[in-house]
Amino acid sequence: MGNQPICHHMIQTSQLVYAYNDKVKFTFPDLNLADQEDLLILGPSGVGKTTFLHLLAGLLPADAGVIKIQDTDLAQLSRKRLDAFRGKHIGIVFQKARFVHALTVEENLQLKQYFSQRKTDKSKHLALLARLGIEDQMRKKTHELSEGQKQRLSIALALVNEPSVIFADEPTASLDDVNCDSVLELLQEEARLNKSNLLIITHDHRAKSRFKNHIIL
Amino acid sequence: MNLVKLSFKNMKAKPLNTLLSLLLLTLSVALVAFMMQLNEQVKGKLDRNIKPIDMVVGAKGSPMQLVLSSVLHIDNPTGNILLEDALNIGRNPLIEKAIPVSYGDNYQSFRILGTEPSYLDLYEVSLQEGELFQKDLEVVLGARVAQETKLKIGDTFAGSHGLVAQSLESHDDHEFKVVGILAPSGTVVDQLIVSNLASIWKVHAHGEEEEGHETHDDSEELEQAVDGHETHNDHEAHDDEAAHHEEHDDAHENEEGHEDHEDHEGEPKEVTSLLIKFRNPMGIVTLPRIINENTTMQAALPKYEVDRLFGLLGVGVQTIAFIALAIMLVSGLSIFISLYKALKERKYELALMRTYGATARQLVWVVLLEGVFLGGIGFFIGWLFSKIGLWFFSSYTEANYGYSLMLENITIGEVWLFVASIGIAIVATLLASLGIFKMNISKILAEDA
Repeated sequence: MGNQPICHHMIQTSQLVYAYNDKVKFTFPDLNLADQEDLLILGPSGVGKTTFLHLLAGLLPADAGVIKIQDTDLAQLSRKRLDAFRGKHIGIVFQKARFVHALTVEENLQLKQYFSQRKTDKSKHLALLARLGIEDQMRKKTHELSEGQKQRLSIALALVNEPSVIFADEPTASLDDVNCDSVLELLQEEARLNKSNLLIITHDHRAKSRFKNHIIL
Repeated sequence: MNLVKLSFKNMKAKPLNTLLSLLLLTLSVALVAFMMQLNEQVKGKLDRNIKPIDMVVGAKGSPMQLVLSSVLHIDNPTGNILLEDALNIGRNPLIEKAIPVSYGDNYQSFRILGTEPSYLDLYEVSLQEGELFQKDLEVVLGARVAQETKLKIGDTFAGSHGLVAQSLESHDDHEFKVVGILAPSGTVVDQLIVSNLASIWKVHAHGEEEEGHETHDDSEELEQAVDGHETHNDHEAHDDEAAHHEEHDDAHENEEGHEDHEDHEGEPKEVTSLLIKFRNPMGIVTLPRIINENTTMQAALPKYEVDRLFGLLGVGVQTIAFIALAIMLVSGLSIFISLYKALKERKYELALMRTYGATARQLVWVVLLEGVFLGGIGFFIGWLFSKIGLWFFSSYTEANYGYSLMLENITIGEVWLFVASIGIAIVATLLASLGIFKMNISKILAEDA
C-alpha cells in the first residue's frame, strides 16, 4: 500500500465494495496514492482486479465506499460530468488493444481528444508516437498494426490527454518477456514525463521487479 | 475530428452495407418521384389544355376520342359535322363562346388547325412576332412548331395529308404562308399551326368531291331542339370517317368573314368539331344531353373524359407507388439491420469511446448522422434518377405525341418524399441505436479477452 504522506493525494479509496450478485461480492483494500506514485496490483484471475480498476475509473458505480481522484469524489459526479472527468483526467490501457476500426492511428488520437474536449495537437501526437516508436504508422488503419504496435498505440491513446492518472489492465498479458519489459518501461517513462500516477493491475509477476509499491489482491 | 466525420468514416468502413441500403433507398425514391412527377406533369398539362373548353361537339363516336383529338390533338377525329349545325348550337344563350375547328393536315407532324382567331384567346396565347392570319392560307405557328421546323415569317410550306408526317400525299398546290409566330404558352397551342377555317377547306377542295356527302338539313330542327328541348330523332347520319373532309359552300357564308374561298356549289361546309365555353354552368347540365339525344352529333365534356382517363391510369400509378413504398420500407429495414449488426459487432468501440469521455447521446448522434446521410444521399440520387427518367419519357412523348413534359420546380410531393426517406432512415437508425443507452460499459470492456 502506498502510504508515503506527501502533501497531495491523487488517488484515495476507502472501504470499496462491489457486488455482482449475492454470491459474487468483492471488497477492496483502501488506496492512498500520492502525486506521481505508482502502484502494481497483483492477483490471480477472478479476484476482482478488473472490477477494481473499473470502479477506480468510474466505469462502474461502487455499492459502498468512497473513491477520490484528485480530491474529486466520483460518486458525487453526474453521469455526464463523470464521463467528462474520465476523459480529461484518466487514461486507461485495456488488456486487449481495441480502437475505432474505421479510423486511422492519427484519427483515433484525434477522436479521443475530441471526446474529452481537447484541442487536437498534431505535433504532440507525432512526438508521442515517436516516443512509442510507431510514428511511421500514423496514417495506417489500426487493424494494419502488429500486436506490439497496437499495444503501443493503446498506451498513446491513454496518454494523449496528459491524464493525471493512468490505469492499465493486464498490459503485458499477451507479450513475451522482452516486450513485456519494454511496455512496462514505456508506461513508467510516460507516467514520469506526464507527472501522472500509474496504476497497473495484472496477474503477471514479471512486472513485480519494476515496481516499488505493490499490493496483492 | 468530429461526430459528422466519424459517422462518415463509419459508413465508408462498411461499403457493401452502405451500398445496399443506398441502392434500395435510391430505387424506391426514384420510382415514387418518377410516378409522382409523371402523374402531376401529365395531369397539369392536360388540365391546362382542357381548362378553357367546357364542351366539345363533334361527330358521333367515342367521346374520349373526340376530346383527345379536338382538344388535346393526340388522337384521330371522330368525323366531321356540318358548320351550319355547329353554328346553330353556338347560338344557344347558355354558350359564351363557340369556336369551330377543322383539321386534317400536318406539316412535319405538327397539326394544321383551321379555326377562328378567338381560339387563340381561349388559351390566352399572344403573338410573339408577325401578325395574325387574315387571308386564306396564312398561318401562325405555335412556339414549338417554329422552334422545331425552323420556319420563319414569310416562309411557305405545303402540308401533308393526314395527321402524321409519313403521309405520302401532300398538297403541293396549296402552300401555306407563315405570317406570325405565337409566344410559348405551355399549352397544346405551342404545337399547332393555326389558320382560318377557309384555308382548310381550300386545301381539301380538290380531288375530294367524288366522295359523297349526304346533305343535312336539320339545322332548323336542331335549333328548336337546343332552344326548345324538343326531341328529334329523324336526323340523317353523318358518315364522314376521315378527318379531312372539309368542303366549301358559299351559300353558308359564316360571320367570321372568310370571303375569298373557292366556290363549291351545293357542298355544305364542314368542320371537325365545335369547342364551347359556357356562359352559365347550367349549360354543362342541360346541353350535352340535348345534343346527344336530338342530333346526329355528340357532345363530350373534356374535364369528365380526362378524369375518366386518369381514373383508369390511376390504378397503375397506385400499384407502382405501393411497390415503391414497399421497397422503401425494405430499405429502412436494411439500414436498421446494417447498423444494428455494426453496433453489435462494435460495441467494444462504443464502450471505448465512452471511456474517452463521449456521452451516450453523442454516440447515438454518430449513428443518427449515418442514417441521415444515407437518407439524404439516397433521396438525392433517386430524385436525380427520376428526373433523368422523366427526361427520357418526355423525349419519347414529344417524339410520339408532340407532348413534352417540362421538368419544373420542386413539388410538395417531392418535399414529402424527402421527409419520408430521411424519416425512415432516422427511425431505422434510432431503433438500431437504442441499445447505446442501456450499454454496460464495464461489462463490455471486461468481457474482452
